[in-house]
Amino acid sequence: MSTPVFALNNVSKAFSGKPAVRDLSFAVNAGSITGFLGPNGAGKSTSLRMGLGILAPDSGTAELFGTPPDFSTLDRVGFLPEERGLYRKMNTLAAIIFFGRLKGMSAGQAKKDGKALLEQFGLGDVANKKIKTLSKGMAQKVQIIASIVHKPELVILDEPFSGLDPVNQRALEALIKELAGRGTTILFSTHVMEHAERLCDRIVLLAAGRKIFDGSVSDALQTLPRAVNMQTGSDADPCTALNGLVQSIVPDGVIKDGRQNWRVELAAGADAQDVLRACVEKSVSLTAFEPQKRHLHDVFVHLVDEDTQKGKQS
Amino acid sequence: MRHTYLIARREYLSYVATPGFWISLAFVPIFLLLAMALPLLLEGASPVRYFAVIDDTGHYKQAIERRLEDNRIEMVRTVLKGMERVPGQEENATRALAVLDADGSVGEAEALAGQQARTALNAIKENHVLVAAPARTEEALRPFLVGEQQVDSPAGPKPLYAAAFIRSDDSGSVFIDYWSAAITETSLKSLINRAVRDEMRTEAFARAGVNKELVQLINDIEPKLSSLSPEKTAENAEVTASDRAPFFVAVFLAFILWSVVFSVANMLLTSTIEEKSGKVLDSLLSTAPVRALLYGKLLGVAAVSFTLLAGWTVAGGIAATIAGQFIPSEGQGLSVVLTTVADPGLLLPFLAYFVFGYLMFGAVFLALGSLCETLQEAQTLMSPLIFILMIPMLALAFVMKDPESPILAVLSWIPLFTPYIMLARLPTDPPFYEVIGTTLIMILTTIIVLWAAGRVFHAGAMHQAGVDYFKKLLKWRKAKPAKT
Repeated sequence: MSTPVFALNNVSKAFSGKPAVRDLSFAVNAGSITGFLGPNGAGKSTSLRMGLGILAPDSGTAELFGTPPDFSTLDRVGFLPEERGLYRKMNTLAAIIFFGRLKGMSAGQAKKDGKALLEQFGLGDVANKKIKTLSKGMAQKVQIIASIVHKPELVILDEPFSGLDPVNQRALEALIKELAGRGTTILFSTHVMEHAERLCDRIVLLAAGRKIFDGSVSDALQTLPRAVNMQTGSDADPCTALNGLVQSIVPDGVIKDGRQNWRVELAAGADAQDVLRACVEKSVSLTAFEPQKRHLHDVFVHLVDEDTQKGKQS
Repeated sequence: MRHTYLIARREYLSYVATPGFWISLAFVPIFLLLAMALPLLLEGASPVRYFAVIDDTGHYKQAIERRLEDNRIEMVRTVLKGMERVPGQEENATRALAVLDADGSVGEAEALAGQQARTALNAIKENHVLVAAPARTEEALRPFLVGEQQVDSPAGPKPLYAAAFIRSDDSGSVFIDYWSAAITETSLKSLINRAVRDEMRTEAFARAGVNKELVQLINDIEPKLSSLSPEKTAENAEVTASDRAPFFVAVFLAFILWSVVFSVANMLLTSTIEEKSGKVLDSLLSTAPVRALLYGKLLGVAAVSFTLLAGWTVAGGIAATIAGQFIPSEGQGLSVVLTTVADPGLLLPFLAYFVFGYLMFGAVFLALGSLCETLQEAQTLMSPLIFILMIPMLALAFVMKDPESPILAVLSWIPLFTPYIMLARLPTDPPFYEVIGTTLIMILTTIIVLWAAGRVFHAGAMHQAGVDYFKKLLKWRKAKPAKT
């Protein structure tokens, strides 16, 4: 098995006695797109900083390309921090060249590749403009270019979509896919699940500094029971008809125009077809039947709620 | 090294490529030129003041007229003495001076002086001109003094600047009532007062039977004072301007050192605050080690200050060369100063003290900058530092009066002050143990300050500490349980 390009091994970190990250372990394999998810304040940025060696963990170890992070391994990494900023008085291209050179590029190569990336992002005409004259979205794209101009093997993006409009979010998604297509490993943090659902091979979910899920998107979706929304006549009682097929069945709202809505969560192993068949066989008068698609957002809310409840109980 | 170099380079270019840097570069030479030229400019710009004297005693007005004439002769003499040193003008100026010294004839002296001297003499303006009083009472003169009416003068109607009423009583006491709307300007009032006072004293001597010329002769008696140094050979023992130059130049260099350190430390503070508030530090932290950020910034701004110092030195050299061609005496003076500055015995300590003084204050300012998001936040932390920085500045003024004062010797041992005070004291040859001891403590302190600044900078850059960092540190120390 190949060495992970990024790994945290049982790392913990506390600030002023308050734990930010607790005994966290996960690894990112080469060529994958990994989403590092969690609510605000879950400890995502702190974990990424420990992984890059910017912050020292109180306990545990971090590894980049199989070794403890140092500035020779960091040259192989492109990092977009959550708190973003560039020298406002610098020219756009000069800023990209500066960060490229810090990562070990020659001035000439950084200039050539920087120009090409600016063109690719539709920013060719602002190459010689000062950063302070750019819009927020433009400046953010320049910063992304500055973090990937040296063609890193691993790109870590901390909340890369925040502050971008929907068009630019779509463009960034395309870039991430393009980088991954070229074999670049991507690790990005976000609390917007739609991006993770569209992009990730794998997700790591963090809540209150603890890992609460680590696996593929489909595995994550499996953690939620499948659900069906249906509507019956007011005299029908589907509860008895569906006994054994459902985990729960609850009325959704009050009876209106002689009809009742129901939310049905299926039992493990049952699917929507079984429910529909049972309703037909037991002559439940159905007026609507809609199997629900599961989203990562629901998984996220479900797992975080579950973890919060566990925390309260313990 | 790559990171440190690139950060230093960016820092350097970010200052050197701005108009503000070139203004700073030009500011010091321009400021020095202005400081030298300002008294002359002010004098040249001040208008001619017309005044009247209403002398009830009948003889002090003539004394004032004589004083005005004496002043005029003295100004002509000063110009002619200066012209004696200008190539091609020496002969005419010497002859004109001889005539002036012999019979005090300004007209004849002007006729004998060369063309250049006459141009200079024509430029001399009489600042105070005595005119006939248009009235003899305060009430009648009031409209003239407040500018409602004008008096007749050789240059036509003019406002009356002042009026002096001189009277005496039976006991012989003399009273001068000086009326003028300009209540802060004192030169004319002093002139009138001195002229009347000297005349009163001469009269008193005369009444006592002492000859007037004899009084003048006695007043002119002065010892011929020679300042000699035992450290020089007997033949050349006299202390010259070149001997005194190191003392003044050392204090001047210490002042320059203080100004540069203070200015560039402020540059570091503001640039770090800009980087922190602009979130640039976050981006840099994943590309360069914290130490490289700290040292790169320190090196970049140090290069800026060396560029400033080099620029000022070149400007000084050019000024000395130009001045030497037009005014030999001024050129010589500047040459003496530049020769003293170039003396390795002063120049090398200056550079060394600059490095340590800069590193100590620069690192502290940088660390403070990393704790703040705005300049307002920085001001709360800066105030104590500013007070500390003012102490060597005050001490430098003291060095001029008494460079061997024991207070200065004590202050030299405080490492934050060592660069400035020891540099100013070097020409007095302080004891060897003081030079070595203060230097070692200063180096040790610099190392500790750099280490501590690195830690604070790291905490600040990582957003783990803010303006309350030191308050929290103190609380933590207090709360720490005692070891048993």
